[in-house]
Amino acid sequence: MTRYDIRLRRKALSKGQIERHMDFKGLYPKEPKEGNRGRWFRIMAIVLASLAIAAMIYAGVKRIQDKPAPVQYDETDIFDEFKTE
Amino acid sequence: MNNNTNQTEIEDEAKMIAKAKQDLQFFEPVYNKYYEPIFRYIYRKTDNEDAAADLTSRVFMNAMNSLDQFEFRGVPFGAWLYRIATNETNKHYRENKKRLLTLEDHKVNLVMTCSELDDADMEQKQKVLTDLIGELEEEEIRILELKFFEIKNFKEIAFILDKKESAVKMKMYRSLNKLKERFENMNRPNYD
Repeated sequence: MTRYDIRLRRKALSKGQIERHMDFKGLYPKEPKEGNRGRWFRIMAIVLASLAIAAMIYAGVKRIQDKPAPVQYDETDIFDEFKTE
Repeated sequence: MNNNTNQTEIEDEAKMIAKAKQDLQFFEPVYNKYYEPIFRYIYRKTDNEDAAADLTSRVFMNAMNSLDQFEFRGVPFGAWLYRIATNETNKHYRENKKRLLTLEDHKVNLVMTCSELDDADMEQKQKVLTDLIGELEEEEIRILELKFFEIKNFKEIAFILDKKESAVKMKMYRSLNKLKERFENMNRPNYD
C-alpha cells in the first residue's frame, strides 16, 4: 500500500500565478559565481605565494649554510707580551 | 518539455549552459524556460504555493551552484532540474511519512480515457484513479507520474530517478499490468 496521500479535484494554477514567484534577479546575486578569470587569478596568487614561501625558506637555509666559521681567537692573555719584559 | 525534445534542442541548451558556466547571468533563459514545469511538478507534490515557490528557488539555486559539474548525457537539462527537484521534495518530506500527490482535473482527464469511462463524470474518474493509484508502491507512482503527468521519456525518467532505463521500463509495465488487473476487478458487478 502506498504512503501517498492522493488529492484530486484541484484546478491547475494559472501561468500568471506561477510567474508571480519568478525572481531570477533575486536569486542571482545571492550566489555570485566566480568566473574563469577570477579562478585563474586565485590559482596564480596561490602559486606565487607558494613560490615566495619556498624562496624564503631556501634563502634562510642558504644563509645558515654560508655563515662563516666563527673566528678562532688566540687564548693569549693580552698582557702576556709584557711578561717577558 | 515533452518527448519530442530533439537533438537540436539539446544542442541549443548545451550552448546556453556552456555560456551560463562562464557567467551565470546567461542562466536566465534556462530559468525562464524551466521555472513553470518545475514549479508545477513540485506543487503537485506539496499542494502549497509558498512551499512550491521556496523549493523551486532552491532547485535553481542548487543548479546554479553546481552548474560546473553538469554534463549533457543525452537528456535535456530539464531532466537534471527534475532530479534536483525530486531530491528537494524528498528532503522536504523527510520528516513527514505521508507523501502527497495532487492531480489537476485536466490531468485526470488526460489519463482516464478508456471506453469504460467515456460516460463517467469527473467525480467517478477521480475515485477510480485514486483507488488505482492508491494500490501502487511509491516508486511506481513516481514513474507513472513522470511518464504520464510530466510526459518524460524512459531515458529522462531513468536519469531523474537515478535508475537504469531497463529497470524503469520493467517497473512501469508491471505497474500498468497491476492497474489493468485492478481496473478489471473494479468493473466486475460485485465491486464496491
